[in-house]
Amino acid sequence: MSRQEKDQLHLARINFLNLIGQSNPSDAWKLFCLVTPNITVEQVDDQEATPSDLTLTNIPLDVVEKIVSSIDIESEKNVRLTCKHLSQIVDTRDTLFNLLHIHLCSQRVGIEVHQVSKKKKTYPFNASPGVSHIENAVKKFEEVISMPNTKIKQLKIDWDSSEENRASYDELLKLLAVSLAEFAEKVHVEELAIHANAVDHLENVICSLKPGILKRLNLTGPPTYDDDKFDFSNVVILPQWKHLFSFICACCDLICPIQHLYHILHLDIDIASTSPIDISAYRDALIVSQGRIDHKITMSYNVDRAKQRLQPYTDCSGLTK
Amino acid sequence: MSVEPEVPIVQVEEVRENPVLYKIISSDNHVFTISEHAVKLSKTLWDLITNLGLTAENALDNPIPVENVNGKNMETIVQFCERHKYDEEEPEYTNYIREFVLPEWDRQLLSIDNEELFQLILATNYLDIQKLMDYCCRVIGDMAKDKTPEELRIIYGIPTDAEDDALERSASDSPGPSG
Repeated sequence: MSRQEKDQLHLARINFLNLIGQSNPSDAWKLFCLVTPNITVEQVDDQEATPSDLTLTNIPLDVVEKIVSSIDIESEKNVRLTCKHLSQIVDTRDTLFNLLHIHLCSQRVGIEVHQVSKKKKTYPFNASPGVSHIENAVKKFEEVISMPNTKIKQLKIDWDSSEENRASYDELLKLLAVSLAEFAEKVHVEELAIHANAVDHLENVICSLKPGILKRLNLTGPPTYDDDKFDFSNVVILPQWKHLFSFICACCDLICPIQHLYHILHLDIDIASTSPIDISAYRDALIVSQGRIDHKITMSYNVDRAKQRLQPYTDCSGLTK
Repeated sequence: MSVEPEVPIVQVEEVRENPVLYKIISSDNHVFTISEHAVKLSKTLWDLITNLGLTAENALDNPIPVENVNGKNMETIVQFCERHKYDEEEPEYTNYIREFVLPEWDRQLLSIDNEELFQLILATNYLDIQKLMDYCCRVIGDMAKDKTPEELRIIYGIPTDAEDDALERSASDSPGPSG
């Protein structure tokens, strides 16, 4: 029996089994053999001799765990919905979070935890004499990320921005970065939404995350002043940057080598300065990417020259400011 | 140990240098030659070679039988090991499984149907080849992207809980060897 015939037979068998839904598969197979006139005894034996029984549910547990460890949270959530067995494996192995939101407001830090398949929980930490609400909040954060194989879909860190809270927020970011960095197995975070006052804080947090996992970075920050610029030169060379496919910066102008941005599919940023060579390299990368990207880059200097260097890309309206 | 090969030797890659070669016999009696650097990628095979005390002089006279792996999978495995035998060690590799980009050559090698891929994974797991295991898991993991649970059931051949229960029931209802 040829390979193609075997595949067709197998496909027909699957379709038939799907059709008869809840019935016993072995009865269904016997019935299928009966209703298929040109099927031979050899073909029936062939199917029985080489059963296609290998599935994700009956290969060794450590292999399934390894496969599960390599997929993103959305896929893992779907895998756990396929059957009890896989749900059990995922729930025993990993701790999945849809959202971990840390918010600082005056004299208070709140941590909101949305764990998959559990109710949302909020932990408030209030400042009182002799108690450091920031340190307590960071301890809680450490407790959450030290659960078995923590995977966080979105980590959100922000604050009610005001001058009186600024020092507390900076301290919070610093301590969070330290506690993230102290974990031997770095934390899996797929999306980071962060309000940063200084690029150092952002860099510390990003480089404490598991490399190759971060997909989206949403950066907010202090209102733009003329001298407010984030130098991203050190951030874009981090291994955590390599797999990013969405980067939105809604705070201030970036000093950023533009050729490190071409792999990002969705980009919305303001660039303060970049060199003509960088622009040419970026243009070349765009040509290679064949227009599969959605970039909005605002430049505040030498717009005409930049447009010229970006030829043949003529729709450069985003380059004006 | 001296098992004579029953089928012609499958020479997977032309050997350019002059390495120590080993012979491996698959469960269906296909014989493969593999170089020392390549066989070191399999912890199981290398432990076996060390324990058997095979040397450059007697290696080819003592083929290693691998009962759990058939010829087709062994061929893929030998190809993979020969291809990656001089790869540099990546110390952080196992911790950060998704940091790598699957090379095109390996993607082509692993472009096989799901059942074959699962069989290859079992063989790789048995032979303990870390890198191939990571690559296979990556290929299987990539199939799950943007799929619904229903689609995943079809892709991975996962029975629904009702089907699973029905199978268990029929297994328990059927008479055992004694009855």
